Amino acid sequence: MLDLVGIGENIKRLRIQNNYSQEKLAEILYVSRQAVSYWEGGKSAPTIDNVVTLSKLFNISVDKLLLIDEESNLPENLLKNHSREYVLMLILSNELKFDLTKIFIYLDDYERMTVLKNIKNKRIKYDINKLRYLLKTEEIIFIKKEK
Amino acid sequence: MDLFKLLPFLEEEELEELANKIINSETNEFKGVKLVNLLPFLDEEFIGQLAKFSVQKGKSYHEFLPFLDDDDVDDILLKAAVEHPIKNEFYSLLPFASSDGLSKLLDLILKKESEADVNRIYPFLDEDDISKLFKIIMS
Repeated sequence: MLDLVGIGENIKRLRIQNNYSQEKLAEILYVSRQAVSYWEGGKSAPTIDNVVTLSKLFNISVDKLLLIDEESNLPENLLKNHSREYVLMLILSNELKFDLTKIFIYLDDYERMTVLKNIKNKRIKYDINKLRYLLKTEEIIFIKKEK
Repeated sequence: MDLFKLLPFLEEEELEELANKIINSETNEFKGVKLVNLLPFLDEEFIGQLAKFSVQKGKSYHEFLPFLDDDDVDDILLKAAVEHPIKNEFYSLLPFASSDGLSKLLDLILKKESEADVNRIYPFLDEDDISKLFKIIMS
């Protein structure tokens, strides 16, 4: 699943770098200014034709524009390039492409507890013992507690 | 007696009987209880059967989605993709489908066996399928 918020920020950054206003970009793509604003706000995704045009206009690959290039998905870049909700969704849907320990320490308390709860109820398929050395006392008590 | 308040205490068979009564009623409710009130208490497999029955009857299946198993969502998605992908309700299935199901949907679209709007679908595909789609489009 695409991270629309991250892609929106990417489009905005590229538009500003290329000195386009939202109106000008909308004019080039034959869409309304509101459409561009919706993309940048992560409220909707550009159509496939518009993704192709944007990638040519900004001279960037479609994968990079849509944040599906390998570099933006490295552990150290994942939270920088994507919204936190998207990263949490990746973890919850077992789609993380590297070991959870590499990103767990960057999660906030709420996110860590959400992950632990979902490992405990087996929605996330992961050996909790691999995380043990990263856990705080209350988190260890939480995972040890019976349902 | 307020049937609504009794729901958490009903046995599985009683809940299923009640669900059948609601589905077969003209008003889509029984003594003030609607199907949506029952869903949190019903067995996932039974909800799957109810959803598929609703699809067959051309009724709305929107309310079942958060309670359905991935496989059931995929079944409904792929069937609806071929039969009636124009309805807006079809697109509400996308966040609940598995990546395998969405991948099969993309194949149906690429083979022109479904008229579903790929512009509304691609944000939900997994990264490999998105790359594949754009490679085909740009080739």
